Amino acid sequence: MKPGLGFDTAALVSLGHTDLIDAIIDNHTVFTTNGVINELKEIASRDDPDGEAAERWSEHIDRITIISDVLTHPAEDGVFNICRDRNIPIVTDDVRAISRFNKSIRCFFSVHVVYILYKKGIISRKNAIASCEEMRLKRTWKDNVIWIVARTFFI
Amino acid sequence: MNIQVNVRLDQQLLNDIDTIAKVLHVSRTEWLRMKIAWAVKDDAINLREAIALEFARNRIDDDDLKNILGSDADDIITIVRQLKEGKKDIDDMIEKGKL
Repeated sequence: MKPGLGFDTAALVSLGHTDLIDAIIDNHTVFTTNGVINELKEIASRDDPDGEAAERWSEHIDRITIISDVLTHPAEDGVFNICRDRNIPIVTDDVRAISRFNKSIRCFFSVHVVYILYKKGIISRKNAIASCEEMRLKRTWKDNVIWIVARTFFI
Repeated sequence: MNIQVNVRLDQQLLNDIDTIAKVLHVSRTEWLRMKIAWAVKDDAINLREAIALEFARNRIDDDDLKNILGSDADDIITIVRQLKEGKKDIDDMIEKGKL
């Protein structure tokens, strides 16, 4: 059985900027909620790089385990619930969400997913760094800190 | 609290500073104080990613980070701690075959 990871919208969009979607889905059960999928569809309708990243996930929607829940606001609260119920880590790039969740469940940033693939020998060091760089270009300076520090994982 | 700092400056540079201070109707000290404060703020913004990396490498501590980044420091502390803890968790989980 593949290990499970729960993803919120921002994490899916971040990873959608890379070419790792197949590797993630092939090696993990990707859990999310219908609330996140709705947000992803909304982002996919935009004509910008995040829209393209969200659109890439929509091509793989049948390989994602979507849990219907009472729509929560913010949507990551719904992801938190399914991660807590299944005892699996949540993947989010929302620092405030991590501060709320990390006492109850394991929390990973999207760059941690890149690290998992690298650590398990699924992708090369070069591909890992390139993937983080692709995510970095779409981020704010604080989000860039995630990439800059994560880069030291691969050195 | 103000602390006096002694700095030796080139005579020509000092002359230029005095001229500018006269034009702006401020004292040499006031002008220098203002410029240093501006330069520190500017560097803090331009170098904030590098500052965060130095923090991640344990070369500056929480207090230094809060002094220079202000309210952004708490987010950076959370990001760096979470990155390190997450990496450790992943290493442990992979070793135990749980990931």
